[in-house]
Amino acid sequence: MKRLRENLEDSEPSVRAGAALLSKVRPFELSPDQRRRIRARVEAEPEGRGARWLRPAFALPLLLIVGIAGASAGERWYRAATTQRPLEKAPLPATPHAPSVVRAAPAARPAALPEVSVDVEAPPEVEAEVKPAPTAKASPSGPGASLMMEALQARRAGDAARAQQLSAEYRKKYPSGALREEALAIAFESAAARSDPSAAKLAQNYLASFPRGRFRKQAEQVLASQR
Amino acid sequence: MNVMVQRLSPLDVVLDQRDGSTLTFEQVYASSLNDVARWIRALGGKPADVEDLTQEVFLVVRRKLSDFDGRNQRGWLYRIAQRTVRDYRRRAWFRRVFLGSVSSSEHYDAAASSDDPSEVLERKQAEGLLYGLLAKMSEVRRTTFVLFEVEGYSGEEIAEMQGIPLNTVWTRLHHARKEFLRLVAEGGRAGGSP
Repeated sequence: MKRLRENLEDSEPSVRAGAALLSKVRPFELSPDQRRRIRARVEAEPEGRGARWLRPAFALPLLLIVGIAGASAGERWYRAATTQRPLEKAPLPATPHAPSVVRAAPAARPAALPEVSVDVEAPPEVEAEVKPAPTAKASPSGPGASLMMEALQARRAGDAARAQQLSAEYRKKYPSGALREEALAIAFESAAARSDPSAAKLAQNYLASFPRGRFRKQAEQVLASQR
Repeated sequence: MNVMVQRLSPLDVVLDQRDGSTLTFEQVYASSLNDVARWIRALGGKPADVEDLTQEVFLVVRRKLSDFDGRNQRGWLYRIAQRTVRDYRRRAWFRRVFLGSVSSSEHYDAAASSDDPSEVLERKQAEGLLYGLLAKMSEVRRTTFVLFEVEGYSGEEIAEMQGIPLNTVWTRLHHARKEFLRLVAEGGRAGGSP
């Protein structure tokens, strides 16, 4: 077959133009320098090169996995780093409801006081979130967190009446709040500290609502002491 | 199949073929270096990358010479070149999409061909125009077209290296020519004389 570049005299203009274009282009030729460089590099290259895991088909999924792991670890780290801890520095293991919490140690009555987990977000944000509707479901960092903080501080300061009142207020305002369990626990514990007869009822209430709750033991102790 | 492969030094890989003759890496390298570079260009490797890609092909050749059955050396080398260029395109795509880097420029090694700067410039412009038009063709047609019309291989040689019947080569070439002339005509109508 005749090559197109040989048709420079063709009657068809496009053929002539194509032939003219092709006639200006020469076959590819490596220069002596290029030949030397290629040779030197082939000689210098150790055998067994070409790690498969560096190829995109292998590297992409690997990068994806590392990226996802890094993102989730980074997010946790960021949350942990930006969370304030006004009470104590010891963090609790993450729970489904409260990923970053501070455990407040019992103060007045170590034996009976339940351990309460309260989220400790930055105060201005928390204050702004106290306002929503009473029926709104509170998240650990959401509505009512400051109320519970206050109740906890009152309890630690020995003001059981105030703590009981605040926890009751929380339960009234946020009947399905995320800190309801803690509110009930503080309520029965504070009532027990004041020898309030309602302590048994509150403890029963707690056990009914949270049969496998974290403060079950304390509730049972309160019930036992009331009998 | 192969009888024995000896490794003496990086460039002394020896393949004992069935007919008793030996084929060394050195022989493969010396006889095919420029062909491989041409195929890489025809397969779509940019001029600036041809050197690297040729080197990559020969590294694969050195590694795989022991697996080569000794038949159709050109076809074997061509397939390695084809895979190398495909991987290179994938890497270029990856760099462009994920790293945002632009692929290497259409650098032309002037020292490779001529001493006359105006001739080099004219050829560079013609190459730019030609490969710009060819970029609009399918890979199969473009490769056959470049191998035949630019690199000067015969239909039989192309059939041998691509491992296809000769008639398939002519069919591809026929369609590639038609498309090329249409692109040239369109280019001419658009204002630039190709």
